[in-house]
Amino acid sequence: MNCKRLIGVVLPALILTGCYTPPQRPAESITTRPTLPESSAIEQGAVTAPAREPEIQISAYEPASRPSLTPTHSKAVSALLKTASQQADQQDLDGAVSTVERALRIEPRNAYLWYRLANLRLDQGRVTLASDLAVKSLTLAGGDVDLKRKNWQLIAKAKRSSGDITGAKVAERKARMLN
Amino acid sequence: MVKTPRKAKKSPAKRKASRGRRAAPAKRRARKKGNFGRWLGRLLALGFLFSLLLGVYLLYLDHTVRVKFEGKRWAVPARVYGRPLELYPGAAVSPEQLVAELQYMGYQKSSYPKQPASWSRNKERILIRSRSFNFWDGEQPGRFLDVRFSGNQIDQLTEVGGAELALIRLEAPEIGSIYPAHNEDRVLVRRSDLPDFLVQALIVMEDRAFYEHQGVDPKAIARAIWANLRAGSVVQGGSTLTQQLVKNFYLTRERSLWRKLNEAAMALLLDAHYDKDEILGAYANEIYLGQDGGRAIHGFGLASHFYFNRTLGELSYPQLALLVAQVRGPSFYDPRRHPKRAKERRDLVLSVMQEQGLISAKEALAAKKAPLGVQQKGDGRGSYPDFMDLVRRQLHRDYREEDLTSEGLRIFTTLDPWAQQQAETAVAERLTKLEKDYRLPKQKLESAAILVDSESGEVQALVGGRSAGYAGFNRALDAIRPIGSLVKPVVYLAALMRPDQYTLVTQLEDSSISIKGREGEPWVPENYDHTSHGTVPLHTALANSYNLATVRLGMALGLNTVADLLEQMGVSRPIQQLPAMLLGSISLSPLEVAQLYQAFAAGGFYSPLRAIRAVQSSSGQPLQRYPLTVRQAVPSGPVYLLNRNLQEVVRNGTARRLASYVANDLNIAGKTGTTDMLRDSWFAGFSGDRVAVVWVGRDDNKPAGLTGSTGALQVWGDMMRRLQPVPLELLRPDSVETVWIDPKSGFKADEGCEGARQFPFIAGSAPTLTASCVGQSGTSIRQLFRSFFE
Repeated sequence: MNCKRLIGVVLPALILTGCYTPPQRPAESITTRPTLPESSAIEQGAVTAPAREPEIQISAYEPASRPSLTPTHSKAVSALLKTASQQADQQDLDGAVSTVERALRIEPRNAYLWYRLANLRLDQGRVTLASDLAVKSLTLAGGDVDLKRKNWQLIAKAKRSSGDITGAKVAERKARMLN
Repeated sequence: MVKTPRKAKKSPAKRKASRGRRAAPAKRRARKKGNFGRWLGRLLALGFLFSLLLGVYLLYLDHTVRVKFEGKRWAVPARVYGRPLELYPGAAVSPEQLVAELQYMGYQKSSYPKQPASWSRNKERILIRSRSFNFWDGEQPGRFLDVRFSGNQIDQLTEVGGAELALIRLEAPEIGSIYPAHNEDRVLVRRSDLPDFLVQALIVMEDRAFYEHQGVDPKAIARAIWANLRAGSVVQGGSTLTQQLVKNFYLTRERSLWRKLNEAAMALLLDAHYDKDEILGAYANEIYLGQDGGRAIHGFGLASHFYFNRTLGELSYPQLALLVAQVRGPSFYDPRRHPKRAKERRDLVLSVMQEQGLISAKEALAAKKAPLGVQQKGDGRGSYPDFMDLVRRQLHRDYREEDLTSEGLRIFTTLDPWAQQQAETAVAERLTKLEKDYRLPKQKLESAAILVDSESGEVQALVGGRSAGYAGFNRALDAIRPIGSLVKPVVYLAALMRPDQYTLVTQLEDSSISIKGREGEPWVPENYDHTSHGTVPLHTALANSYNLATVRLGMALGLNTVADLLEQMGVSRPIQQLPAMLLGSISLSPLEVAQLYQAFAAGGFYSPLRAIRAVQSSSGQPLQRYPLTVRQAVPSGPVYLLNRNLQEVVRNGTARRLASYVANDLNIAGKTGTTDMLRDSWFAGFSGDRVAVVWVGRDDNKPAGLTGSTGALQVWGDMMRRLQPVPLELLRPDSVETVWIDPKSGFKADEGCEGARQFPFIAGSAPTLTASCVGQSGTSIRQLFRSFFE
């Protein structure tokens, strides 16, 4: 593992966690997420959480903190993603869509899941829906540049197959800008 | 006119006959003989005709029997299911919720679960033997689960004696059925599903010669006639099971000899056509076993749910015996209304079973000791008329009524029974309390409430009135009311979508305004407190719901801009473009308001509200899916600014009272709405997981005496409090930056400025003028960190 990279990620993460209280449901303990896996998550180019902000003081419109790269793939969602992949491999795209939707009910703001769904829809030829879902994924992707690029590439593909060449070119440019 | 020519024809014939009579007296005998022959002929002809008619009639009966029999076997109402509860480590499911869910599905509590559909609890640990269930995406076998909790969430999930589980869904709870206009409901059971005990008890109690006779049992009839003669009244019936089945083919209950003969003939025909097991299977699905208001309970499958909230295969001997007892007279032996009679009859069934050697004396004794075990009505399925109403309406877009009532479809909906329960309770309790607290006339307030999943638009709960268990006027769908200030966020969003003109800190004029109407009459809106507030920042105007600032803003933007935005965000009702629409003169149903606010909650993405996930055929084939779709209606940047502003409404503005229900750190976003003379009280808002809309008002449209904050907000807060809302964490889009602002001048500042606050802006739209305080203090540590991470 690249040492500099590890420090670069872990150090700010540690500092952030120091001044950061995770939002919690009242009167219940949410298991504190370990800080270390964050780095590995980045390396896998995997999933990022929606922005987690410190307690918002509305009256002051306090700034939103930088979205911290926390993996939100719970075990439940990982298991469903595995099932969905198997279903997709067996050409059961409807089944895979159903499974990813189920995962989205558990983690509705998991940008990767929206991207996965967009991909399945693209495979089904539902290009407009695929593009819409990718846009949704983009708005939730936070600092996950890799996922953003993939979404733009997907949008470009979808636009191209629906005949919107200009739209496709714009999307391709956006994808390139994220390289 | 017709008669004349006939007469003319008749007279020559008469003449001929009289001539003949006079002319040949010798032929009289021969004629007599001929007469006899003619009579015989006539009789034969008549006989022939009669048997022909009888034959035709029998053929008709035969046809009827076959059609009814074949048809009846498949006329199964669609069954409607709620959402299955997902269990996984980390899921926000409290032990109480899980127990409520299990009880709702008829799971039985025991000290250690051994049978399917049973559970046990030991403090923070619940063991469950789940039922197997055929989902729209595949069969899920029953399991033996060990669920451990930590506070109000699931900590660990394992299979007993097995590995840890990532997630599992419980079966989908059944919430109702769609039965046809003549109100017959049934749950189809196959002959092989019928427990032996039930079949044996039926035969010994109702028709001992069932396997021997030809559909009619003459001996039983003779026995019955003798018994009835001796008693002087009808005490015993001689009908076979086949005859009873035929009787159920008719929808009327008349008693006549003709009907009896018909029944007997049809029973014989039925017996000739079908084998005994087929007849028994049909009987088990057809027999009338109870009444639930307007709904007739047919068949043992449904009766088992209706009385015990369990499937037939899960019933004990005494429970099965009670069902057999109902065959003789479901209203006379109704275990809910006449428990004593019902128990006597049940015990009789058990005694006869013992006499016949079908159960042991010990078993009979134990069974007789068991309580009736009947569930209260409404404990189980079928008590969500308002939500079912929405389901029906959505289904009717794709299905014909007869498909829904006879094809045995399985419909998977989005209803969350737990959330629904909380919503119903909150509405009922809060309204009563409001009437008391504000000394309002009793039982006059009405309400509607809707809970929607923020991101997917799935409707989780829908309350159409304060007595939610009863079908009636569904206010959630059909009360089309002026939405008052609930429309304001759309006006402000339209402004924020023009970042070059408007930001959260743009100064607006909150001063009196007079607008000429179409016919020249002036419209002079007023603030709620009848005062003007001078120059106010845009965010304050929305937070405090200032009317004058809003009207000025809306007029500057243009009515069509606001109307177009409403349409873009999913409001399909035609909108009259009048200045008064800026203050909510447009009327929408609570469901339509939920659609609008869902788009806010989902960051500007519109997803049509859905009550159905999938439809499956009776054989388990997936027929239709209602998938998750999204469309970006509004760019995410302006929506983010608006949502921050809606959080201010709750924190510091008109919805401050919400703090007495839900913690401030949940950062709820919402908006109150009140209409003229306090006729309508609204609150719409969202947490991190749900959008909820509540309306409170009166059906006669008289003033309810409540503002959005004193009425609907109270119901909303009470409802959400019960549901453990997830905090609302708004995700700041890339297009938004945060800038320090000096509130006095509205100019750019830094944190050294006294009272300076940070506001989100669409990048590049923040004020460029700098306040005089900037640069007066040193760089703070905080700023250092910010330069690192921003």
